[in-house]
Amino acid sequence: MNKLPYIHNSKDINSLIKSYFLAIVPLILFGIYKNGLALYFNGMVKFKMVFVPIYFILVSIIVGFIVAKIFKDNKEEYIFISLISTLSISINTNLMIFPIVLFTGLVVVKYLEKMKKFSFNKSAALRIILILALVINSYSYLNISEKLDKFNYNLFDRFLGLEIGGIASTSILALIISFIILALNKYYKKDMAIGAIIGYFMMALIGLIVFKDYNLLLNGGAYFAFIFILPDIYNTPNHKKVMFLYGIVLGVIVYLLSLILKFEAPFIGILLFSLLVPLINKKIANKYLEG
Amino acid sequence: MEKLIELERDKTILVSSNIYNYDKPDKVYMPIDKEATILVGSNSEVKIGTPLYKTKKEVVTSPISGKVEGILKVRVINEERDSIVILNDFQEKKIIVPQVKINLKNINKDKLLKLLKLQFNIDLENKKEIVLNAIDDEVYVLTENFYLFWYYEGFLEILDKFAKIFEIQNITVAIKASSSENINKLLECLGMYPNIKLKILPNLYLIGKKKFLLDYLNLEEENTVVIKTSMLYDIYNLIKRNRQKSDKLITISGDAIKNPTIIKVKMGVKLKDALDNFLEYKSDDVIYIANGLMGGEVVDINNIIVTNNLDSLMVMRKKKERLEGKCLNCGACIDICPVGINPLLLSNKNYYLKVKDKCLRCGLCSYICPVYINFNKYLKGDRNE
Repeated sequence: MNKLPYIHNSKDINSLIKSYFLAIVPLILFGIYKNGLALYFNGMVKFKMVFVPIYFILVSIIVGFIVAKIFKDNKEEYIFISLISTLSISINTNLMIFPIVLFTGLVVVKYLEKMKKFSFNKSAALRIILILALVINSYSYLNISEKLDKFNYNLFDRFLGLEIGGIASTSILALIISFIILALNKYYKKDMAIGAIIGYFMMALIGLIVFKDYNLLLNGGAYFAFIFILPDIYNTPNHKKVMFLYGIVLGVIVYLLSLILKFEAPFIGILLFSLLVPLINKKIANKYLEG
Repeated sequence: MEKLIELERDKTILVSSNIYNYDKPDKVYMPIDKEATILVGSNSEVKIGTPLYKTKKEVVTSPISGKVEGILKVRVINEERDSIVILNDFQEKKIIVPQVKINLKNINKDKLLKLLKLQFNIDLENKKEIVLNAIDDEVYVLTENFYLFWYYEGFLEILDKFAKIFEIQNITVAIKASSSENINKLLECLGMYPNIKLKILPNLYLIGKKKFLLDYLNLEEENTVVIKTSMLYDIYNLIKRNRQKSDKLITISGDAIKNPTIIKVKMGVKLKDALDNFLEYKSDDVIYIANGLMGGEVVDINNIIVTNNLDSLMVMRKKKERLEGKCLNCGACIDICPVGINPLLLSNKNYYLKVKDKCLRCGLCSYICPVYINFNKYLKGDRNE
């Protein structure tokens, strides 16, 4: 068989995965600061509690690696799914149950994928399963400082990430840096992320005017989901214009869902929408076949 | 135009500006087109320019003088074809066919018009522009570029003559920005030809394709004739030197050889015979690719014959085969296709049949694919993968 072209663009899927891992770094650093170091320096927790965000991150990497080993699958991909699903969980997630739920969740996701009956966004599905490890304690995304409500954060503090949310998904500044890193890679599906951010942001602006509340406008968890979870490595429409439109519609739906479930809405929206992807791609194919 | 991209290249692979001349082969093999009428018999004597066979489109002549040995099956790129085998007598005897008796000083417009239409499928009647296309799209290939490099004086003279005879307003010489030697040469002598303009184009892949070239130059297809330098070389030989097509330039390059160069060879030569005389290898485990790394074909060097449609031979180190991954649905292949095809659907027979003539076989979809999907296999008719 003819194996041409003999030359290839220097970037490939490995460069995309590397970009993802690099883009996660600012978020992790801020997460360790906000939910560990800052609490310790303000005398709210003991020193060992500084390691709680690090614990979640390390466990997610190890569990992702083990599941990939068991299923003899791509290690980077599984570590990535496990890690990004973990970054938006609550700091109150049960430390003992978390590894078990994460492992089970990854196995279930892998099993569902193997069935090949339907295609879905694995990271969003796993993130929803991880809520089980939170509800076993109490359903809350507040860290100790937020529970005590001792600080009066201004808009800029909240933009930096001092906002209620996941362990490492609240900083909009870090998310902007992450997005720039990812957007430099041509295989990152930025059209989807941009579409979703625009859709959500426009709705949140309207919400701000109507409800005089900018909580949803500064919901880092939603932007985190749009940047990292929505542009799934595999499960997306395959046409850039459709990706953008898909993103916009999803952004609007996620905003509406966020009025009921602020922290889980992005993942529920992304998961439900991802079930439509095969249908959308079939429509795109038909358009080419007919036109 | 926004879809064209610059390909990444290994800057250590260069091509020498020295031409290696292989003009005295022992034998030549002239592949016969389907439905051709053969005009010579076994053991008949031929001269350079003796018609060997004719088709509805062209008359193919002998590139050497000698004796017809017979007809043999040979592989031409990846297709087996009957070929007329001619044994060289090394006497370089030539015939001058009556229609070629044209010289630039005393030219008959109608006769020239007819000749260009008949021999080269070029119609200069009522045209406003001529574009001389000296662009090689494939990476590391400089064949068109070197036609201009070696014969630019003759080319400019003949183009200027065409402009006067056919009242053509503008002539553009299109070359890539990377052809600095050609740019310098042309800038030195274009002062003598005020109606000939030099247009320097960016190093974009496929910009040499007629459609994209005309788009870039903002010219209308119905008013413009685009002539490749290789074709102008044949026209120049016929009109100025009374010589039928008997030789051509071929770029020999690649990362597995020490001396990439341009060779001038007789038509019908077994390329391996020419290469054995000068090529020095860096590696033993090599692969030969005819007509470029993007859109060419892997060939068996023992069989390849120099024909009209062979422009280059790349000698590359064998690479470890990359396994194709699962499609990411990133849309990069759809986005990059310069003619708007969806490569993801090429495995669908109906879609393939619909777009097979539109597809340029440029290889960009496979070049850009992050999981190394080889779309070329679908173009080769493999629909089971």
